Amino acid sequence: MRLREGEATWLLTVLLTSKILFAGIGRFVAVSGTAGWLQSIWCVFVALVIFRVLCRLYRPFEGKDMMAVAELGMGVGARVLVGVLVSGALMLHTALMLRIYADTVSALTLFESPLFFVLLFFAATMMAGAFAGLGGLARICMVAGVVLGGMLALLLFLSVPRFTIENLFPILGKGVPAVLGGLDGLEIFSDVALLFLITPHLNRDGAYRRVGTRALVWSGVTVTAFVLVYLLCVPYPAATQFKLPMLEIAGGVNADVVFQRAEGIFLLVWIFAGFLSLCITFYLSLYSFSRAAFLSDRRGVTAAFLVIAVALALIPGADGSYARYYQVFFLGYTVFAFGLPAVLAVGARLCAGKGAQE
Amino acid sequence: MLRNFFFYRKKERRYEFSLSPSTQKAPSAAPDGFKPVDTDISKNLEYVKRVLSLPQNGDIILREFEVSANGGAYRAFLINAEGVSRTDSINVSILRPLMELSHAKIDSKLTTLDFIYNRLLSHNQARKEPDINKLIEAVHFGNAILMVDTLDTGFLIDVKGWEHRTVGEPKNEAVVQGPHEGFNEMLRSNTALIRKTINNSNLVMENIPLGKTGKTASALCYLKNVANDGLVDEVRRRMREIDVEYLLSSLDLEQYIEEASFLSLPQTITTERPDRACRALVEGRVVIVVNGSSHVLILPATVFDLASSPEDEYLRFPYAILVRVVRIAAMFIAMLFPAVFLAVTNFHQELILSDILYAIASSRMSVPFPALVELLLMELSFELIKEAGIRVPGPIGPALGIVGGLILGQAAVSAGIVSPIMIIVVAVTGIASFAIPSYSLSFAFRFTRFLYLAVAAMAGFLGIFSLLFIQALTVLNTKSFGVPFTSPVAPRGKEGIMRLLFTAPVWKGDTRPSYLDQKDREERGKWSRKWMKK
Repeated sequence: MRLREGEATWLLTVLLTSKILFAGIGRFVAVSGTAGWLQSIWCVFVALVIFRVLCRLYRPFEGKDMMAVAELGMGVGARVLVGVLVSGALMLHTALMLRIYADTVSALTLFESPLFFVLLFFAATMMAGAFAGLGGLARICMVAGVVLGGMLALLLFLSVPRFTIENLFPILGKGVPAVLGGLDGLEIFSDVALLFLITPHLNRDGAYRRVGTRALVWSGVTVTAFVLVYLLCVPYPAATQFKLPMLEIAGGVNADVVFQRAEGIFLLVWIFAGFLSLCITFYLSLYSFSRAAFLSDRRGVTAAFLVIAVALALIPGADGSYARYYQVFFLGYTVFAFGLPAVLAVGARLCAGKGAQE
Repeated sequence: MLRNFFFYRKKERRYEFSLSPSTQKAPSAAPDGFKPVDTDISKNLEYVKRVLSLPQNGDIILREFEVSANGGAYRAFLINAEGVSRTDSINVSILRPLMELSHAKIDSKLTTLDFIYNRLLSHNQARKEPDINKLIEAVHFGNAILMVDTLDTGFLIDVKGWEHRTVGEPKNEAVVQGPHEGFNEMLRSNTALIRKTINNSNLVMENIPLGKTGKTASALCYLKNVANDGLVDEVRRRMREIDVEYLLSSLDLEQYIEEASFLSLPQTITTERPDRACRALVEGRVVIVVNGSSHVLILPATVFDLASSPEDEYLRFPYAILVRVVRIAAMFIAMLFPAVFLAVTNFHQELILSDILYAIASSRMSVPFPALVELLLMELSFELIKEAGIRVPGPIGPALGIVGGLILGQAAVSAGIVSPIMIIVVAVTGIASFAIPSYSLSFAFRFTRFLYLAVAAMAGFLGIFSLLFIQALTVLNTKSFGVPFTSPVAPRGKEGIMRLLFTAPVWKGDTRPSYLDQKDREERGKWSRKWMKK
């Protein structure tokens, strides 16, 4: 299955943008104050630079994914190790996000339903996504991305009456050092490195550069826009009090024609974005494992992986302790996501020597 | 017991029949494979009588006679099937010249075979056939076969003629504007309707028999200068490689050649309209016509083709856009409205205005059932009325409508079984399902509506979106003869999404659909209205 550039761009953009539904926006505001939108732009810029550096390192290995690069440089053992590491990291990523999505939906709408019951619905969609494969996921990202983008734009438009320009002052917020030092926002864009897993599936060898750049730009624009909207609607320091800034934006909208509040829009966007991002990370976890284990058909292990993901998601207690895991995990995940491709590319260049560079 | 109280009467043995395993071997199937016509007519006659079960077969007519040709008299026989062949044509074009003209003195140096073929048989659709099995097969489809002593070749003469429905208006695809011709059950009538409209030498209609025993005639139609060769080859291959005894209709064929049979959506378009079939051929699609079916198959199909109506082509584009938008809304209402209503009233009351919420709550106050049971009762009643309406005799039809309306309407509400708001939900959903142009597609939506009801009752919007996501994934991953089912939206085609939703004036559409990979993509010139340039 060969993905076109548009399909791959949508896939990545949806994956990156889904992070703003969580505390991502709030983190920019907490670190930089009223300059949170500037910090967002700075993080996008840094992510772009890191991505272009990775692209440059991967130039001799176009058309190969991370496992193939590891094998090229350091042998089959390296391929297995890298595949297992990536699969494990993505499995943890999936389990954590699964728990967060399920908990949030449970808290917002299904108050009386047990958590496991809510998890089952997410698990069912992950199963369907794993069987659909990368092509199906890319296509549904294309279709759903347009709808979700429209919903977000509607939310943005409906928030305009709440805008207060004074909320943006002081422009530099907590100061330039806070803005420039606020690189923990890179966590939102770290998933762009997953592009180096799906490079063999792109229809052209050099397409990953354009796909990654476009995905970063689009997601950066969206994240920055919503940080700006949040700051315009909710003044600092009150803005740091809300755990789900997007929900706060949606809750403040008054669309009194048929619907009472616009939280329904947020719910739709949240649930669908949750399905999409969980399916993508789960599929990539499966894919990495199948590459490491030389499996010709990954569908046989899908059910087992699903059980593992659900079991991991149920480990944290009901006291909200997974919020701590989230911060710790994604800090490490960001370093892993950007660092591993770089280490592999450099290692392959060094070990394979000139022959790998030809 | 009372009967035998005073006098004993032996109990009469009543006749009872029950099936027992057959002890006889199944008679061999109609012979297949090449078997040459014998020069000894007695052997041919004996063989033909055995295969055609003569004289048991009452509608197979055997006529033995003599032909004088080239100075000699030869025994001959003619076989045809009554009811599927034209007797007058046989008498005038075959028997009369063979019996009467054969005595005329005609100087000829032709062989007996050529003499009979070139000088005596005056029918325009006669051909020689050396295979006796093919000759016998042809009898069932309205052909007459002639065999003459000493000749190792028989003659096959097309004298088809049987009772059939005339070309009338399509029953299920009526339009206000546009042609009112529809296909019937005759293969050649239907192919003629297509050929007279296309009127092009590039139109090819390949005959492909379907079924090992039944050999139902079918025609694979395509424009050889437009249709993708790979598509045509694949369709031909699938049709030829169906291993079944009988295949009697195009709707059976549809299930044999489609890939995802368990998907609720059909992967081919079925139509009764010749204009729709011709338009599909011009676009580069393939059309299959099957004898005995008034529906032809058009493939490949996308989900957007299934949602389009033949009337769209005959409306001016603003009206076409309006009806298209209404139809898309109708599809979503037919599938999701009851489930969304259930989800909002049971799980997400905060979403709707308080006034509406109070109105719904007050209307449901006296109803003893939960909303799900109420909805299921009404939906099932509606489905019952729909099914009964198909089979009800004409005079009772209006009465059924009144009874159904009373049951679903006033009586149920007055009895407190259902609430008025539920009647509205079910009625709007039902009307929306009738607005879907494709009969198969409307069935798919009727079926999935119950699934959505179930998940909405379990988990509200989460359940609905989960099922919607899974259904969308399935549809996006499906292909119809190599074409992704959601083309040109995903994968994105050159047409763009807007052209699907908002149709353009007919003179603006200068290219054929990109996802069909035709040989010739240009359908019209860039400036199709050349008179505008002057």
